[in-house]
Amino acid sequence: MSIDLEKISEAITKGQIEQLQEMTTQALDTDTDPGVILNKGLLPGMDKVGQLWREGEMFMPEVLRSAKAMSKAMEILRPRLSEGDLGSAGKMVIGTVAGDLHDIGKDLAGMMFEGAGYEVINIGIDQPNEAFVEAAMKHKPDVLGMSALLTTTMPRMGEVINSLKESGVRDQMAVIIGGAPVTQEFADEIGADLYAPNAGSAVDLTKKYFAQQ
Amino acid sequence: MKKYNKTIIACRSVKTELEKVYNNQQNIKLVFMPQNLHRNPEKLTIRLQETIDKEAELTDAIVLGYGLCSNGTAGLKAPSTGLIIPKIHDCITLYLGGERNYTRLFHQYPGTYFLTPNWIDNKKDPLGLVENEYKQRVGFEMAKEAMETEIKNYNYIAFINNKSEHEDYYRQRTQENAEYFNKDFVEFEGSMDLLTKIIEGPYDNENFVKVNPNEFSKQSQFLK
Repeated sequence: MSIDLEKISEAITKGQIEQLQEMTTQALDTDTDPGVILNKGLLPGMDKVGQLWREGEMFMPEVLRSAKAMSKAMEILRPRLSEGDLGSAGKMVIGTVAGDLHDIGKDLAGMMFEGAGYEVINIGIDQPNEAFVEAAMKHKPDVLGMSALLTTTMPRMGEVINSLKESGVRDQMAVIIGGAPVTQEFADEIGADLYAPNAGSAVDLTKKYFAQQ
Repeated sequence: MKKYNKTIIACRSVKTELEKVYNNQQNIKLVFMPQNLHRNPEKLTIRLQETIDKEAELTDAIVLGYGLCSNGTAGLKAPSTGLIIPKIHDCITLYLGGERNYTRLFHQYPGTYFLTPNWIDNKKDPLGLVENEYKQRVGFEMAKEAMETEIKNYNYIAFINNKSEHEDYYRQRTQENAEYFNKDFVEFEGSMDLLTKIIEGPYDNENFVKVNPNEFSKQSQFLK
């Protein structure tokens, strides 16, 4: 019996932790490709969560319950994904900018990228501009992700991009930004390559971006 | 001559404070919008636009009692009167009297969850949210866990004291929150400076965004 991937997505949006664990195990047992479970089941589910959150249909505890479900499913999926997959998609450095302590979305995005085969280096919250640049120079990531939840800290993202330019490494990576107050317009203004309206869509947007390069 | 010299369209979250500085001035009209619209910023923009367009016919100037509020006030089309909006992130800066005070506290007390009497009355304090909003949706255990996650990087829960009635109750409730979630309690004196300016002016460029007639407000106007 094959597992309905839409049901997996639905279990994520509904935050059904145990059911999702069962379905993920069952899907693997029936030889569903782990990458397919992730890309066609889990990630679309989280994308939907992001949309519902933006629309005010889902509240924070429900989002977090879905994130927990996602994380539990990933625990089951990760060993199978990492058979050759982990790090295969590339490397990512991700962090929250200086003055900002919010990391729910940032950590979710990190988890998604890890699931999608990225080696994720999460440098944490409240990271000064130099920390991003140092991490970028040290790890040479394919993707640099920045998050901010406050309009007061959001401008740090543009500063980091400028510092990356000054250090001569800007062109060696795609910069993706996100966080509640961030918009496509702002991303364009500061010269980010990508803007993700939510953690669930970040991976997909990045994949499409690289496919076009 | 229009009916009013000025109309203030404000969020209900600053109603008590704004009314205190308003003094029933006949030539100024106060309009209040529901408090939770910032949770759905697109809806906030639509609702504000409707109200702005309607009120513009009766007044010479429109000032918002809002900040950028999750981009809810970006993308508003100013009516023929133009549009004036405080140049701030959200209402916390209103309670604290302006950007300068907010920024000072932001650096001095990094990771602060601010509470005011109004937020406590509306059960939007962490404990209130768990009890009245989260629990019903996900059960108590997950509700508590969610709030703990939400504020895990916060260090302080602060009471902004605007010298309202029942000050002791609000202070106590803030302390209760701090204790429950294992944060430090801190109290800040509120200030009516910016709220007074919203009603009285002057609308200086440091504190206000000005949108010309028929132009749209932009997020970039709010950023420093």
